[in-house]
Order: sequence, then structure tokens, then C-alpha cells
Amino acid sequence: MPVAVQGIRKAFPGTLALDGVDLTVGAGEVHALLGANGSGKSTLVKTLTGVYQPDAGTIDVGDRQLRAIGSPTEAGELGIAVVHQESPLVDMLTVSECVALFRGYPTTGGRVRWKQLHCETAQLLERFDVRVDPRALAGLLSPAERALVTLAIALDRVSAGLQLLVLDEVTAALPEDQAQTYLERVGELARAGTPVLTVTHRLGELHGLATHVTVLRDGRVVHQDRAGAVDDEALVRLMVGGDPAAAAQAAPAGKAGDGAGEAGATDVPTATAAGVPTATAAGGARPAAGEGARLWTGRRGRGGERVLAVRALAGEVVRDASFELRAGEIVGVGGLAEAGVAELPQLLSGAARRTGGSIEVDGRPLPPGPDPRAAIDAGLALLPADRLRSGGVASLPVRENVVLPDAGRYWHRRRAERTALRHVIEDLDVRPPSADALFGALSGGNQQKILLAKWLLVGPSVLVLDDPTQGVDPGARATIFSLLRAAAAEGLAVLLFSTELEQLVSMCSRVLVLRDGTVAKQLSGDELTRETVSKWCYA
Amino acid sequence: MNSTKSHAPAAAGDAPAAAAPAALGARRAPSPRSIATTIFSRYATVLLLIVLIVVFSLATDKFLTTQNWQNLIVTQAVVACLALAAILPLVAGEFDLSLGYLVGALAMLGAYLAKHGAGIVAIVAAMLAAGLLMGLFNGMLTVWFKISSFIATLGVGILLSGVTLGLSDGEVLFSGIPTTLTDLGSGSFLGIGTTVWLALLLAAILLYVLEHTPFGRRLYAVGGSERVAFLAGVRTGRVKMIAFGGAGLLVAVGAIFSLAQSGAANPGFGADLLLPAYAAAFLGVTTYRPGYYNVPGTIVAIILLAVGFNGLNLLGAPFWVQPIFNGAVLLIAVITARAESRAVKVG
Repeated sequence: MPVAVQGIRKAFPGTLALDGVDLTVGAGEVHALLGANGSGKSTLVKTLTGVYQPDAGTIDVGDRQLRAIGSPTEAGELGIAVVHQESPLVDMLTVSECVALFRGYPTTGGRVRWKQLHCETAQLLERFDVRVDPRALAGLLSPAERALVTLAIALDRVSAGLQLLVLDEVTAALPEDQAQTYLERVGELARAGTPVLTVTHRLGELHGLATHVTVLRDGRVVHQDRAGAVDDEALVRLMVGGDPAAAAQAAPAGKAGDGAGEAGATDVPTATAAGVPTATAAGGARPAAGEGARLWTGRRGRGGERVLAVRALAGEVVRDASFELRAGEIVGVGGLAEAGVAELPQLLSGAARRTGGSIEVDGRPLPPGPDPRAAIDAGLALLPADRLRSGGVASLPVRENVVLPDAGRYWHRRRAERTALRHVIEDLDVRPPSADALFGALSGGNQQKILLAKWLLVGPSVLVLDDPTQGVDPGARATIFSLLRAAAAEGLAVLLFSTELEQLVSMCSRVLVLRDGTVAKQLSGDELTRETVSKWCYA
Repeated sequence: MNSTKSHAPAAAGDAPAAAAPAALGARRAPSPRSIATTIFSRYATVLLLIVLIVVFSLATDKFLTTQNWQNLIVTQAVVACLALAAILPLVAGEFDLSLGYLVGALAMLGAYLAKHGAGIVAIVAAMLAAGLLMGLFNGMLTVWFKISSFIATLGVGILLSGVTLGLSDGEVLFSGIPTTLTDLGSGSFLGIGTTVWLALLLAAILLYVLEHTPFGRRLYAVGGSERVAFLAGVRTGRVKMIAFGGAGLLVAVGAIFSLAQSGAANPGFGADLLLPAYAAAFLGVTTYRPGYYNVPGTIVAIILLAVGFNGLNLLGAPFWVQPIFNGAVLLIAVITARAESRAVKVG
């Protein structure tokens, strides 16, 4: 019973999101849908799940041919189940109550049978190998636990008559080992005959899972084949429409657009705000991320100097963690969330109060906190993992988000502010290229670029990044990493927390592995390989 | 407090759903139609105000007279102070429901001091100081004791209504009010009441503080997401304390204006100003900077409601039409603004 779409077209005013897309997902297949942000893959998923109705084309579900799926409810009735990245759990309710929102409450004479509810929920969670207490408050779960519970609910709902399971970037918030556990579960479902369509930014997790791959770019299918037909690098090139590294080196072209953009931004700031293409965007030249180091305003050229000293640091999970960081270094931190990887960034940045030990930034000791201001003033900034809850203010424009940590610096210096924002938008190729766009309306990749710029502009000695590529498309990842490398070359010390081992190995000169709240191992040089990091983190 | 944000069309909840189309349609040049839409959505209340003025002018020749407008505007000086006071905590994502009772209590405090022979300086200083203190007290309950501001300020308000009754002993106080004060209330400059000029000056100062100072930018950030602001190094507690304290001061100014204009303090005065003040603040969200609490929008809203009140009165509308008009304008304006902002985003 395959699900197939043919010749799907969908236009929004001013843009053609899907332009004649064909896609078939057969029984037992795991079809990976790839593409940069804005490539049309969200639109395609929304077409399949009844959120959008296509302008042309047909959708076959089982033996029924349809012009469109009218609503998410209709999609559900057709047997199409979707798991979104955003979890439908209600923070104030227990896990059992969240499950009951979908399953209904077991009652006798109108009275809820709580014991039975908890028991059934426990069974459900166990069936999908989710180790979460049914009585726990949903708001207190880790992102990983939330995603797993969400998945369990979705899988439970579609047990009968399932035609297609759509996974919409569900692994984005999961650490690699936990993502693995549930992807195995997805694989089992597929082998049992369920067609699966998975949307993801993590190419690594497709190995051994995906049977077919489709790459979208600008609303068209640019690649459709069995998995493994081309390697990961080729996939990334297909997605971004060119080698991102090559784009990053196109420095002269970026410079040329620079001057023209300046005139536009200074004279008619509202023109860019309204969406008029600037010279840079119209010229099609991608500005060089490599020279983005000009965003970082910290002290330069002091490579090797010690900038961060952490001694016997302790919090709720972290205990007796000690390490140092030198200017210009990019150091990774790996391990399980429970091992302290989730807590350490909070302690370092003063977001959470530490219970023991000391942190010195450039020789200045930080107070035990919570006091993020003290850490920022001392020269340590944190890019948090949760972009919308901790990173940026969704309801405010890009401009306000960028200047927030240092608003005083731009008082009565509107020109300096405009220049800084222009650099941010050009150097990071932010789309739309407008400082007045609402932060919450940007794609994940563009949000992360803005947040990175926000902290670089403060000019910290140490930048702590907590899982910076979660839900970020490959093009934006390349921009972010080349910017980080450029700033590190100038003297910024980077501490990179990541759940993607590949990233730790390729970006960092040294990786700290956390276990039971302490630094169990430091890997560097020849020791630093994907295998050793994986072994130390998860074994 | 999350419920605040639900009034704002640009609230976070709308954003993720609109994300993809907004990003895709980014490079589109603005069409004349979308510019017209923007003007309509930003200045719908201004257009409505103009329409009302034209209609009332044609319907009755008593409307467009200097005398009528002087009265119409001067009665709004106190409400304007309260609406400005409401905005400060609202921007930071908090409510101050005590301000209606507070303006009554402060006016009564002034009249009480006057009755017992205090001079103009002492009266004004005491009213301002008491307003500031009560504002900071609201802030303390919200920031330090982490009580929802909705509940905390309601509690403070009820408490203050008791204080008003205690000070007045249930009587209207009018003796000993210094003439300097009543002169301020009845004085005018260029045909417009002095209190109105002072209220406009306060509005200008608040506009500058909210939109052109680092404090204002931090305040909007705290209202947008307290967690994000905290992690960005904003002293969120201090920012909120200042917002509540400032609100208390603005209420005190409103109380001084009230005492100056009426030359007396009525124990029943104040509580029924709470809703008009909030109506103006919410209505203001639809104008000037759509989606955000802002000063110019609030001022336009106050004038709009006052013109509606005045015009309907002159036309001889029954007394119960007034609240129906106010409520309907508020609801329609907010609903239209939401629909407009959706249309703009999806397009």
C-alpha cells in the first residue's frame, strides 16, 4: 500500500514552494527527505499531513487517489501519522495525563481511574522502550524524554490502518545515543511493513535506516535514488546547490556586494525591511563567512593564553569537574545528558547556581550565581541549546535580539547599530536580509546565525555553544562553523557541546568526555576519532 | 505572565506556524496593496477616530466647538496617566491591577494631608513617594516572592481600597486643598488644560524611555521572554522593579491631577478607572507598533474612546450605550489587528 504524490505544485504569494514534486513511499521503505531550509520539504510534509492543499498534482494513499488532503484530521483518517519536532505535551500535566489527552481517560461513572491510567501509560511507554515515570510532570522531562514520549503517543495512535508515518525532524532535539534507540524502533516498524517518510538534517543517522533518499532544492526534486547511491558530501552539495566551502571562499564577490549594501542600508533602512532585494542578495554572491570574524569584537592575537580555568566545579549532577581553555582553542564536550553535559553549560554561564568549585575567566573569578551578567562581563558567553525558550525572543525583531546583551553600547549610536546589524546579515547570509524580521519567523538555521552573531558582538574571550546545530540545515551549519573557526583563529576560545560525534571530531582539537558529572577523559591528537569518542561517551 | 502576550498579535505562538512562508516570501517587493494594508492595520484606530470626528461634526454642531474639545480632553488627563502606568508592567509581561485603587488612595491621602493643614510641597511629595513605594511593593511581591502579578496587585488593590475608606471615614474630603493645586487643575495654556500638557509631557518621556533607551529595549525583551533576557545578562528582577515603581509614580501624578481638577477626593473614586486604562493600553497595541504595547497607540486610543463618549452624549444616546461602545471598539480593533497581522505573515 504505497503512498505516492505526483506533480505536486504549491505556490505562496511571491514564491513557488513546490514545483512538480513526485515521491513514492512503498511498504517497508524508509524514505529520507532532505533539503536546506526553504527548499520546500516542510511544505511537502504539510501537504501530506493535510495542513496545505496543493495547487496541482495528485496524492495516492493506498488505493485512493486524491487531489488534496483537506485537513490534519482527514490525514489521520487516511492513516497518515505525523510526529513533529515540537512536542504536544502540556508542561503542567503528568505524562499519564498527556497520554490521556490522546487516548482518553479510563473512567467508572465519570470518575477517572488514576491507577489504571498510570498503569496503561507505563505499559505504553515500556512497549516503546521509553524509561519515563508516568507520574512525572511533562514540563520536567528532558528534551530527549519529551521526544520519546511524543513518539510513543504517535505510534500508539496509528496502530490500526497505518499507511504512512511521517517523522518531521524529530531527532533534532535528541542526543545521538537516544536518537539511535528510537531510530531502531522506527526501523522495526518499517520492516513490519509501515512506509516511513523521515525529514532530518542529520545525514549520519540515515545510514542503516533509510532505504531511499529524495533531495529537494527550491521546490524541485534534484536527487531521488536508493540510499547509498551517492555519499554524504554529494548529498550536502545537492542540498545547498554548490559546495558551501567554495561559497565561503568567494571573498571578493562578498566584498563587492558589501559597499552597495552599505549605501542601501544607510540611506533607506526601510527598503530592506520591506523585503526589497539588496545589492548583495540580487547579485547572487554569497558573502564570505570566512571574513565574518569581524563580528567578534574580543581581544585578538593572544593565542595560547589561558582564558578559562574551571576547578572542582560542582552542581546538581556535575561534580569535581576541572579543565582549562586557551585562547584560540576549539574544545569539544561529549557525553550523555545525564552525565552532566546538560548542566555544565548552565553552570559555566551562571544560568544555574554552582554548589562548589571555582570558575575563572581571564583570571577573574565568577560568583556562584545564578548571575549570567557577571559571566558575560567577565568574558564568557553561552549560546543555549533551546533556541526559542532560552536563545532568542521570538516576538521581537532580529535587531532587538542582536543588541540585547549589550543594549547600552548602542544608546545614541544608531549608526554603529546599523553597521553591526548589516555585518551580521551579510556575513551570515541571513534570510530574509532584514533586521526588522521577527526572530520567531526565521528558519532554525537563520535563528542560530542571529544568536551566534549576538554573542560574537559582545566580544567574549570564551564562547560556550550548547548543541548549536540542532535543527539547523547543512548550509547554515557550514556558515556557523566557518565563522567559529575564523573567530578562533583570531583568539576566541570555543567550548562546543554537541550530541553529534562527527562534529566534535571534525571541529575540535581536544574533546572532554563527561561521565558521572566529571571529566572522565580528554581526547586529542591521534586518539581523537569518532570511535574513541563514541566509546568513551556511551560505553 | 504568559497571558499578557496573548494580546499581542506578534506573540511567539503565532511565529512557528508562519515560519516557512515568511522565510520563502522574504525577497518579495512590497505591492501598493500591501502598503495600503500596512497603513490600514497600523492606523485603523486613527482612521476610525477621523471617521467619528467627521460623523459627530456633521450630526451635531455642538461637537466641533472649542469649549467641547477643551472639556473632552481635560477629562482624559487622569485616565492617560493610568494608561501610561498600565503600559510599563504590561511591556515587561506583568499586570498592575492595583492602579485603580491606588489612584483613589493617593488622592485621598493628598486630601487627608490637606485637611490636616499640610502645604502644597508636602502633599505632592507625599503622594509621589507613596505611589512609588506602592509600585515597588507590587514589584517586590512579584519579583522576590514570585507571586503572579495578576494576583499580587489585585491583593494590594483591595488592601488599598480599605486604606482609602479609613483615611476618608467614608466622606468626601475637600477642605484645605491648596489653591496652587486647584489652579493647576483649572489652568490652561494655548487653550488646553495644564494637566493635559503635563500628561502629554509624561507620555513623551515614557515614549523616549521605552523606545530609545537601553532600559526600554530590555523591558520589551523581558516581556517577550524573561528566560532569554536573563540569559542575555539582563537584570530581569531590577527591570521589573523599575517598571512597577514607574507605574506607581505615574499613578501618583494621575492622583495629583485628579485632586487638582476636582478640588476634592471621593472615597469611591479610582476603581472604575482601571478598566478604561487597560482598554486604552490594549487598544493601543493595534496602532503605531502593531503587536506591542506602545505610548502613541495608547494616546490615540484614549482620544478615540473619549470622542466616542462625548459624541454619543451630545447625540443624546442613552447612558448604557457608552460602555457598549467602548467594549465593542476594543474587541473589534483587537480582532481586526490579529486578522491583519495573520494575513501579512501568511502572504
